[in-house]
Amino acid sequence: MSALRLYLLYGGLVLGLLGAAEYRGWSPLSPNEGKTAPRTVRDNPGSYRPHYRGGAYFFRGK
Amino acid sequence: MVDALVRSLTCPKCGAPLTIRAGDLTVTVVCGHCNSVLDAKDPSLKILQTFEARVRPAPRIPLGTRGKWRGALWEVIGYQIRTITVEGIEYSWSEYLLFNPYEGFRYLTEYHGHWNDVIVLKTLPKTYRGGGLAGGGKPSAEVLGERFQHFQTATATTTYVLGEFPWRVHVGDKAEVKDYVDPPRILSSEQTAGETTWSMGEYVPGEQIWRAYSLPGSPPPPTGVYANQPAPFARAAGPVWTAFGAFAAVVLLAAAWRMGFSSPPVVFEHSYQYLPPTTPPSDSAAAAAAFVTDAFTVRGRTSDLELAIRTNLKNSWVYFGLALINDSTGDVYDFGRELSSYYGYDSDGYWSEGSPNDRALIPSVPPGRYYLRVQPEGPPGGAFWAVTYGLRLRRDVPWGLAYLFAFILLSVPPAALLLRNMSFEHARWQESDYADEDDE
Repeated sequence: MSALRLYLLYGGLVLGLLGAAEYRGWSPLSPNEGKTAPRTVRDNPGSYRPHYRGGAYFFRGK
Repeated sequence: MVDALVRSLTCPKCGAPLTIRAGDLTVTVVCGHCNSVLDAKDPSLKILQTFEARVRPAPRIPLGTRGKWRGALWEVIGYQIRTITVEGIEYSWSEYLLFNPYEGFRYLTEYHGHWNDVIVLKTLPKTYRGGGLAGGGKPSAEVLGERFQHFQTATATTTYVLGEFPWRVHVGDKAEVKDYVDPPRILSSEQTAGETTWSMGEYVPGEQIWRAYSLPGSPPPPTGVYANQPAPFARAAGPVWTAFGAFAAVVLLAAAWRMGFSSPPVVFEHSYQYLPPTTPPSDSAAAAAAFVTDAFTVRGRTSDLELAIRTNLKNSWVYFGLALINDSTGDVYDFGRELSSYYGYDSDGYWSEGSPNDRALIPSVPPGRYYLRVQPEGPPGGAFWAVTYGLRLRRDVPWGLAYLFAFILLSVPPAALLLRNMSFEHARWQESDYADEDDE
């Protein structure tokens, strides 16, 4: 296959991926998608333990 | 082939059989047994020269081989090796003389597996000294509307001969050879005391010659880059860059359309106030500050959600532990955002750091009913450090970096082609009179 044909195929793939990413809202920068949250979170938000642990203690300001 | 031109003779020195294939056109014939150069015009084959050969190279295309080449039948009748010396190093190449009684003579040259099909020019090229833009600064020559850049000037010495030649050949003959290139062609001038001869060569793959002459085995593989060897992807570069331009235009137009004309709908928006505790931070204090928002509906296809946080932070920080929770399925999207904003004055004037606002993208969120769990945390200080903040969720927000990534991905192959061709050209010209000077 010629270099041009290969590139056209590759470029079509990249554009297709771009279109799909935009249509479906893909992003590599995804938050953690955790397990199912219990219904009790609605009633007692403080009881929920997030899967993402980056507490304020580690991000002290000046 | 006109076999009537063929004559069988005997070497006057060693008695070995000789064959002359080009009839009266042959001026010199060489005995391969005793290395005697004989006058083919003399009925007694007068010995013109006997040379010593340290080795007897065997031509890759044996003398007498016939093949269909460039639309006619050509026979190999002569072979010579010529040598130049550059910076004390000898470089030798082979020349094969081909004969057709109706077409005349042409040559095949070979150097380290690189072959050229060469014909003698009847048109005199124009030569130009360097410095002009057309020749790229180097001396150049032009013939039949084509411009060639000077590649090399050297003195070529004939170091071995075999077969027959239409001129008075002599081992030790010297000629000043100037090569000009416009790949895949090479223009060469050979200047002796009496005359200057111009020839034009075209690079040919060895496989073509092997097929044309039905030679056994394979041609020797080419090593290095030859003067007029065409760059492997030179022809592809232009069309690939044109295709890149088209793809880039599509990406730019799509980005402009998405970012300029899209109006992502707001699915949730509310303002809150966070009162930090008066005691040092703790898990229990943070849990106590957690709350959930009212539920909201996310419609349409699976797409992203953008959470924008706007605060009135001044010289402080706040951390939000966030979770987007599907009210029906319980699926959770966990993430945290830290915001800090500081400013002041020092000896250099005003300074600022951070931002009181932030955005986060939650990708691929299916439609459904959702709510947010929000857990703010901040420095202790009570009402003095109260933070007012707004949360806004928008649906199907374009992600600008995706277009940048696509643009970069699209540019990789043409950039790689460009680098490959530049590297090839650099290797080519390293063999010329214009090579980079070696570092001391």
